Amino acid sequence: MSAHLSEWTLRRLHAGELPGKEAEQARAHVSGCAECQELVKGLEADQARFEAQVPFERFEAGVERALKKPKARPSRPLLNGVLVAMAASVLLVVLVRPMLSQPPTNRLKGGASAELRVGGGGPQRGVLPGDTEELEQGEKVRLAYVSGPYRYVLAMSVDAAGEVSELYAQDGMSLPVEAGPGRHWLPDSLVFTGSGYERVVMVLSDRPLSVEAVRASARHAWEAAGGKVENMTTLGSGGEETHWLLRKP
Amino acid sequence: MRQLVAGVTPVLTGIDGGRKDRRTVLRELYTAYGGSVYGRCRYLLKDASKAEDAMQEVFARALTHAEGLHDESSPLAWLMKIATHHCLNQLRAERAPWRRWFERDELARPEGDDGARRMETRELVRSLLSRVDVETQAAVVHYWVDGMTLEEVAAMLGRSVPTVRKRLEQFAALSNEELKVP
Ligand SMILES: [Zn+2]
Repeated sequence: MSAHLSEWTLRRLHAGELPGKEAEQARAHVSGCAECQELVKGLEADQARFEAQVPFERFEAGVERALKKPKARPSRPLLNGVLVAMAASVLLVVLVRPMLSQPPTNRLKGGASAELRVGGGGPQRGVLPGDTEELEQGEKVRLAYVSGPYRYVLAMSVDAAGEVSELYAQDGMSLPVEAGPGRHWLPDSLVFTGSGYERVVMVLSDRPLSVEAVRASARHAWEAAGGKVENMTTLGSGGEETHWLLRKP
Repeated sequence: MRQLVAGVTPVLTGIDGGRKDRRTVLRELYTAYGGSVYGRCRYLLKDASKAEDAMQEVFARALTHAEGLHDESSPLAWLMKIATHHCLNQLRAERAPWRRWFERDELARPEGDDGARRMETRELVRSLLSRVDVETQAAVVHYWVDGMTLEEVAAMLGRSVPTVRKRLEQFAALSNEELKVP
């Protein structure tokens, strides 16, 4: 008998989402394996218990209620040991005194643009896309965009070790852009922990991108750049990417 | 979602707010994934009504992101990830007394067959969750509770296999190696 299937594979089989050939093989294994059969039966029992406990009508009504609730804030930067989100009040330092002398940012399709600003330690400054900027101790970073024709925005970063972090996303997907033609600041500012390079990338797109998919393609891009984050030119996200390279103190 | 059951794909594709479409989609999701998502929420929140609320949130997001869900090769992975994330965040936001919250329930400690052993493992995992960071929490739950392989957890979290292994090994140390990663 072939090796057991992972429990996760059995879960996917049970949910009916295994691709055809894999499903066939999985079913063949299960039909001859008491242990895996037992597991599948357990999953079926879980589903049956759920359906008894929460009938469909109640489920549907509950989901509809949840849909009507006001939207949650976009997710804060994750604490992967890479980033720390700062309280909004701290960030106002950066926000309320934009540097008027700073030349505008890059120009993308249809007047869209992306902007990265550093503040909180040394002089406030914008960083031009594609540039490398040294950060001083305690400096914070904010991101802004003009959406132009794009409907979604996502921000990610890659550090020197190739760890990819989600900076701004919602439920594992790009955020819908804010309405209005002007510049929109993403909430909060970012402090990058650790040292060495950190590549910050904003991705504007017509369709929401999956954080996981971008993470995976970014990881490949990092490998393709010989494991040197400073040499990366794209995340391969499929959207309109703007890159900045920061050097942490 | 390049590969999904024949019945689901077209439905998710066609969703754009039509009341009837939405209902069909919801029913598909309910039948295929309801038990799994609800189970995850109950496991973490330990409360039937909180779990039901959390589950509704998760499926509401699934509807909002139907387009994105459609692109996932595994909607189950997407839903379980969102559900896990949502519940862990909720516990943190409620400032749940983590240690006490996750202390091992002494009442249910069956022994013997596989099912019982799995229950036991899940209890042990939950009792130790409060001691680790959020990413380790997620990795541990997907590995020990969802039964993913190391490779599957790594792919889901966008981390390398060695990174995930290291986190699981750190967690194993907390359990006196009862949760040793083979
Ligand atoms: Zn088997």
